[in-house]
Amino acid sequence: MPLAVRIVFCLTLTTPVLAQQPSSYLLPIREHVYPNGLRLLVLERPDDHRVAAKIFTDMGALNEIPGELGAAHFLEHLMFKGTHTLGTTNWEAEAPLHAVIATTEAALIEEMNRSRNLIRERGVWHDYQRAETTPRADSLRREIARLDSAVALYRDNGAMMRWYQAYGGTGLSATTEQEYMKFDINLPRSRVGLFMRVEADRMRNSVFREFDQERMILVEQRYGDLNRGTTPYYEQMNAAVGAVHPVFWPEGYPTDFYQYTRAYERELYETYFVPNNTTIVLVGGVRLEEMIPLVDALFGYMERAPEPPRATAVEPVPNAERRVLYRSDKIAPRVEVRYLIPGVGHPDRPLFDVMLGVARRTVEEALAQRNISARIDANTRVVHTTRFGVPSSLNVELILRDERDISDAESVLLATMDRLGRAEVDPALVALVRKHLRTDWHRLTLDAGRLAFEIGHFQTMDSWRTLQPYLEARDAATPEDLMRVAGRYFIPRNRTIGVVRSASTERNPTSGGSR
Amino acid sequence: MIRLWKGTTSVPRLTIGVVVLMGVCQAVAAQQVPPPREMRLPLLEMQIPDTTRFRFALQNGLVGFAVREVRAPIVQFSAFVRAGRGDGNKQGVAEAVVAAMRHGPCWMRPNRFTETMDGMAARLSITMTADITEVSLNVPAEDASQGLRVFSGILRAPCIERAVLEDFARNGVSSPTPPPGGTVEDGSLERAVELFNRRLLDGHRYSPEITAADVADITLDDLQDYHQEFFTPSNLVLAVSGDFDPDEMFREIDQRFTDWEGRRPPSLRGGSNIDTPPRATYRYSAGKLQTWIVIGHELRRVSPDDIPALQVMNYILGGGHFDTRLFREARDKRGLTNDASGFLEFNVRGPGTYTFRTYGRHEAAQELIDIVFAEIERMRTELVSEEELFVAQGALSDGDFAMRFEDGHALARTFAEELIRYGTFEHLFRYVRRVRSVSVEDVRRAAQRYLHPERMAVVVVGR
Repeated sequence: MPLAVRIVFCLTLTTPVLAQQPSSYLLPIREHVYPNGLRLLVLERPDDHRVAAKIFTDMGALNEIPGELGAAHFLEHLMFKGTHTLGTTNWEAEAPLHAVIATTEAALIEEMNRSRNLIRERGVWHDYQRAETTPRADSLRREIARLDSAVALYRDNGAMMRWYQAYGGTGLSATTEQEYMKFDINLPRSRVGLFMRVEADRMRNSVFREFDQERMILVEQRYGDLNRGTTPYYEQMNAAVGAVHPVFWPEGYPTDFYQYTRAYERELYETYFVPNNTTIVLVGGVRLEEMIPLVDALFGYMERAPEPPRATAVEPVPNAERRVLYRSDKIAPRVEVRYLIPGVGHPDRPLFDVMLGVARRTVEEALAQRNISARIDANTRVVHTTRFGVPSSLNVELILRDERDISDAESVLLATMDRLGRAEVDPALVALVRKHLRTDWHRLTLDAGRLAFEIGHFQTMDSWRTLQPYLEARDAATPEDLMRVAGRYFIPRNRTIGVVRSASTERNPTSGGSR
Repeated sequence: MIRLWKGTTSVPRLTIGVVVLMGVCQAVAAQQVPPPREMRLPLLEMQIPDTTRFRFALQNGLVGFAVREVRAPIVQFSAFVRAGRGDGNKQGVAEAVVAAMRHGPCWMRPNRFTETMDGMAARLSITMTADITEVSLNVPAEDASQGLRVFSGILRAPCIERAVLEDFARNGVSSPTPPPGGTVEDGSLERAVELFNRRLLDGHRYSPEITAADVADITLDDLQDYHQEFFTPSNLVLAVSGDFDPDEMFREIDQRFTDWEGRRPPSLRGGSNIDTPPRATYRYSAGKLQTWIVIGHELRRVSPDDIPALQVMNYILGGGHFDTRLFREARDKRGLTNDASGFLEFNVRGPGTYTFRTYGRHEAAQELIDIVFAEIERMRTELVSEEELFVAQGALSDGDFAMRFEDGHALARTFAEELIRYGTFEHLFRYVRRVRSVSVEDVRRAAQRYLHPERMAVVVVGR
């Protein structure tokens, strides 16, 4: 379709959405949806001389399969490795090498599949498999390494970042969580076209260079997580809270990292990085009308693709209290309770933001009355993220000074959470928590990047249109509302209790095995 | 009485030379994308607002900058003080005064202070370098009056009491420095940096280490003396920004600060240079999965005129982004680390530090060290490319520097910080021109002048 015609057609789809009544959360987001399904959201701030730009793809860890956990995050890393036009000194010479790598890797995958009974891990303690590899697999790996070295001769490292930086881009980053992958930059408003140019290229033409080197970066990041003694404990808790839903799965085990293949990463990329699964969010000194043709010029040619598959897992209704006893000398003793809570888009979800503050303060007071010394961490975090469009959990964790307080602390914690569902809390406390939430939101809006993130995140969880009502619902929360949701969700069969004790008495099961 | 207020209070604006949405709109065929350098991206012409529009001054010598920023109903009060860790007459006194400030004003009991802060949903932040302290209070606009009252109380009359000193004795003492070869319980990059600084600054008055003996030697009089000497109107600059009525805000600033007795500015000492020994490696073990590495030396006081070339050089070598020479070599090409970056830490009146920080699996540690030294050497001996220079100049001027004027909050802060650091805005107004005029020869000269691998300390925490 000729450019001019396409623009006229697109304009008719433009839907300026303004709040119907004054709100302290007024978000005059303007939306434009292109014929290929690409969504453009702009929050205009005419006084700003810069613009926060983000591109969200509706995919993440929810779309992975066991054995390849972390593959979505790895894909994000690979998408910094350049395209046909950025990151290479000679694409014509480089391209054939990638084709050979692909066929060599296909042969390697076939060899590993053929050897399934030889290389299968059989030991509980990862201490027994008949072989870790085969001579042919080793040979194919060496061939891939040789081809990768040949590709490196044409490599122009850093090209995906360089031009953003040269033209005043700041805050260049990318994130992959359970429900989204995003790339972000903050640019002078007159240079926002660079964002369209780089991101359209990244979305369509990514080349997975330095695959095995980048694999090791994920290992490094995982080591960084595991250096924190709490990581294995939290992962055990997540595994107990959720029966089947991938939202509770960790960001990949080291055993997963060594199984990623270019073929699987390419499949994820081609399935999900399509215009009808993508949202661009701009917050700053730009106007929607100016942005529509700019985006169209670089993304408009992309054709609508088949709708990417959704994550189909549905967490079963909980029917029994779960309990985790974790023994460790690396972290402080603690007791914790987690409850499944609904996702964004469910009318109850905003109330849990208020509930967090109320629960933390109420538990704090109850512990003080019993003279129990503890630091309280109340959150809705699963892995790294605190809001989801699917059920997740509300967690109240008491980190204790004295292990002997575990039993008393657990009694106080459970009784207090139970009481929230049977008696209304002080309206002044609810008002105070609401004020904290309101103020935190206003602080957030000063940062265009953080505001753009919230808009895009809500779009991937549910809809950007949910954001403003979500904030308003929090601000309207009453003691009765909180009692109602506490009574509904804070019940024994919906809870998981975690206790951390010292490890001194437990025998180490990983010693004494044989490989 | 506020004597000077000439500015409007609208959000400051930068003038952008060409506000066109360039290049890509024009006849770009479907799958063809232009090389970024051929996109004809417009030049930015930054016009820094006139500082006098936002400046106020009280008769007692207190000056500040007030900028109205109405995008959110938030008000931020900040004070930048010409005093830091290196200015106490005893080790730990400055940190103890900061601890006292965290307990609130003396006229408010600590638990009442906590309740008041909670009731305002306020955020108090106090940071201290070797020679500057920043105190900031962020509150909702509806609580601006109360917030200013508390803020002025924290600055003018912090809670210097016996209980505070006892609390500082419990929580302010540094963990012991292990001997080289010793074991570090909580291995991390932060811990490695701390060990580096302790080793480099051992015996220097910029040292961050506070021992139990230091604390035992501190008296309440020491705290009072420090506070009275340095927290005086002529020795600090205020930055006030947010959603407020200007006339009302000025009236309140006047009310809260004008009777603060102005004393003569303190005599500020410069920090002596640090004599560093020849290159040496200090190893500590830590029972973690990675090894953390800090390589560096002192950074002798840098003339403001030298800063642009030094920053350009560091940007290319390791300036905390994804396209540095260190990042490309260590991460992209070899997959050894998640990060390898260079850190310039300037102080105003004395030496700072220049460090390179990285980490990775144990078996990668030596290769990482080798890469850092090889890239430093290359920087000292070879000229950088014109493209590297182009990128660094753009990033520093149109990126990092422009962000210092992003909104009203940033503007007030930038002006106050500049005044406290240099006492003039000359460097601020000339910065972009200076960055743009840095040549590839200047970059090599900066590397030769500020990078001295022969006397770098290497701190390794891990295996």
